Amino acid sequence: MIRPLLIVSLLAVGLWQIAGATTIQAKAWLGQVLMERAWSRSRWEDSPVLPWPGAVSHPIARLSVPGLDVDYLVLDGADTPILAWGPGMEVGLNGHRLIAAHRDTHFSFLREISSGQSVQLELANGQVEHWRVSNREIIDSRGLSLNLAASNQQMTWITCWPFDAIDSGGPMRLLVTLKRVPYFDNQLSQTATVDTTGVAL
Amino acid sequence: MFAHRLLGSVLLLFGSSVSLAQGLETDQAMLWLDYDAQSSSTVALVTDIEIEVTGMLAYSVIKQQFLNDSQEWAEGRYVFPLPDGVAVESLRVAVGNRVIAGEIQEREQARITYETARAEGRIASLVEQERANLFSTSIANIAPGEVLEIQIGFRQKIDYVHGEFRLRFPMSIAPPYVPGAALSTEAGSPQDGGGWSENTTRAPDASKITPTLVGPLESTNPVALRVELNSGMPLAYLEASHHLIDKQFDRGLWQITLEGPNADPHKDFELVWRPAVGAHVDSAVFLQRLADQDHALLMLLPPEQFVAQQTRREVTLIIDTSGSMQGESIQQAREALLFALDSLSAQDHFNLIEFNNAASSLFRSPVEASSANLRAARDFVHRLKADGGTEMLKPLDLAMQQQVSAGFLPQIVFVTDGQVGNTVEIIKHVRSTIGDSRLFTVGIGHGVNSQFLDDLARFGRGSAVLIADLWQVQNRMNELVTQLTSPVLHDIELHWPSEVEFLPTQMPDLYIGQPLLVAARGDKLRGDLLVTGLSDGQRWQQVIPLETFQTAPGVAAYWGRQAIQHELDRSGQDISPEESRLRVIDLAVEYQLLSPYTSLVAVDKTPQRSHAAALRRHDVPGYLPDNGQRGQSIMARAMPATDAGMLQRLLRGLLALAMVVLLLLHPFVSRDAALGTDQDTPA
Repeated sequence: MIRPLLIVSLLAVGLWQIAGATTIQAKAWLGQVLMERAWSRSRWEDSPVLPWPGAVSHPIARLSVPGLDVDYLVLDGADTPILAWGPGMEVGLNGHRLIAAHRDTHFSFLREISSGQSVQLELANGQVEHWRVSNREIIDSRGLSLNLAASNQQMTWITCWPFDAIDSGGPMRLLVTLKRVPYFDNQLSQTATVDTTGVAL
Repeated sequence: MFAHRLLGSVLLLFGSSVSLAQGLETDQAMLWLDYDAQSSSTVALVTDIEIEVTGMLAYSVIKQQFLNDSQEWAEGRYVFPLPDGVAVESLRVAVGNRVIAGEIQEREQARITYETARAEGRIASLVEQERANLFSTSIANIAPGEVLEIQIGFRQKIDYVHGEFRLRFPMSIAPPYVPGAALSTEAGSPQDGGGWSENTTRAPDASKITPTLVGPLESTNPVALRVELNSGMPLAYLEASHHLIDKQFDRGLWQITLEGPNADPHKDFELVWRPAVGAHVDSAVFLQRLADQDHALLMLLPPEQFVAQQTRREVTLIIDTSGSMQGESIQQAREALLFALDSLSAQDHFNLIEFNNAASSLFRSPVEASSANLRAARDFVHRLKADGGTEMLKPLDLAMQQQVSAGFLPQIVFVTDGQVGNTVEIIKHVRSTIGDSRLFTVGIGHGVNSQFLDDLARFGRGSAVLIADLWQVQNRMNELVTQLTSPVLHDIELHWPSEVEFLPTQMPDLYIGQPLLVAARGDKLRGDLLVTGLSDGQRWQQVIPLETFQTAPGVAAYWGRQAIQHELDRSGQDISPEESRLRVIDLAVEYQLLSPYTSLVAVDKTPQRSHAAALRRHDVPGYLPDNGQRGQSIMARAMPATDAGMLQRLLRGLLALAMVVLLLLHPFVSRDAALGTDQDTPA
């Protein structure tokens, strides 16, 4: 008598957990698709465009890494509800950009990124910034906080570490630091951006 | 340099792990700060400010007690603001019952003196000027558990504007926006100030003006403040603008103390007093004789009623919408702008410029102040949001390069908190490109860089006004608008009875509500001074008898301070920077004053610390201004959570499914198992 009940409840729990895992992936993907429209519309409007009614945030930049097939819309703010839909960005007092994303969705590619990798960040006003990965470092988040007052020539990406950890909510973080590259340094990757965008569209 | 900077940021050593800090001595250290929720600091600081006001001048002593709460010998460093244009003249270190007096030395020499004493284990203290209104103290060799007190004496002038006296004492420092590319600075070198910012190409001293700061929720270091006011006349009004005070009148003196034990150090202190009706504030001469020379401070009050004439104005309003303006500041700025828009008359022209990282103007060029245009401007003002950096040169250039219509008086009204690191660069640029435009500054919020805004207005031949609270917008903007719309007193000339030196050498234009302040030095100042000027094409003149002076201490220091400023202003203009430096040093030594090139240093005679004992350096955090920002700790942000937990859920789900499969297979498995058990039991 107990066995069928156990089987049914375990089946339910199992499917619910797997559905949850799939929803995470689905949200991460869907958020990007829905935001695409808001992003293109925000080019023509002064005020931020919400991707759907009641959305927690709106896209403020487009992040692309040529060579790794990475092309994400970045949302305003880095709080947990926002990160479900896309990488979130906060800008410090002096323009230091901080982008956070989940290790198992949008920032899973950080596993492969190495120093010297060039990165483009397109802003809402159409300006394209060129960046280069300068450092990767693993730190313990319990005793440190991010310095929002750092220079605008630096960008920090943050995600949880290790990538294969089974438990979530661990204290370790991977910090990837990027340095701004003047435009003229980067004629080659400029054409690369055009290519990736072409693919994405 | 980074290891050193990191050590600097480890202010909150209790509990926060040193091992972590050591693990982080890399190129990246400046991106994050060590922090400790307990905010227990090893070197604590108690600040006690005593201000004595006599007439137009004040003498103040700021006492900083450094408490070493650790088991090791400590060195403390603290960066703090002082009122604009102060003349810092003395340093004393109190060790128990003994007092060590400081002396003025050339900046590099003073640093060597200090560092030598530090290495020898002597108690030593160094006070340096980082900016005209920003100073730092260092104190070396505080024994474990001991308290050392530093006393810094300085003089300042009281502002008399629009019929009231104002004494301002800044308490907080807002973190500035630092543009430019990072320079490599050697750790521990004189250029390295240990701040959170690196030195950059556009702000070469940024590391010295960016101390770590704490917000209202975390501050533990108390500040007390006391004012003794000898106003010399009956008063109708005496209040502090942002603090609650207790005041008592006794034997001709007002004693003002803060209600409650400590001041709120996140709000700037401002004391305002007005003479009683009938009491007359008149032009006055203050005199001090020093080293066989007369030093004088003259205050001239222009007539209050100019004959008003309608001048057509072309007003460009610039509004700072950078991140530091968030909170109440942007509201104050909006109100100020709306007030300025309301003051425009139909024949005036105007434009609006907004800036943060970039600057944009509402109209391509100034337009008529028609009701439709004004409506568009008000909508624009209501939509303003504060975010991003503070690239201040862009909007100023945009405004200064606008085509001025013939017959119009170009006025620029600049609304900002002045929080930038590259002030030197901006002032230099404005000086060379301002042309005929007049630049008026409106300083917003607590922790505003008022010295910088004052300098901008001085070189822009306008005036400066400060607003730190919403309720002040109406009053202060009213003062500004009166100045914008009334004619000025210009071409002011002084005719002295004998040969004297006087400052400023070029008299500024005088706006309504402002007195003319002149500092003078001569062998014997006697006879009548004739002051002439023009307003609206009419000649104005006033005679000041120099014989009817009041003696006042501090006038010589005021002269010295003005003379130093004069030489600094000439640097790179009509004299070379090196020549300017030498002149400043001469003046600073003659009048015993702190300057960009001279410091105060005090050294004890006998060493206290043995060579074997270690000395650890601690930077004591300053105070963030309280401008009603959402997050008070704008310096730091906790690490975000960056796990979606997908793998965890997937594994949990798969585990549950695997158990289902096991349960389904159970009948078959258990029968085999049962058989096995049966066989085993007999044995």
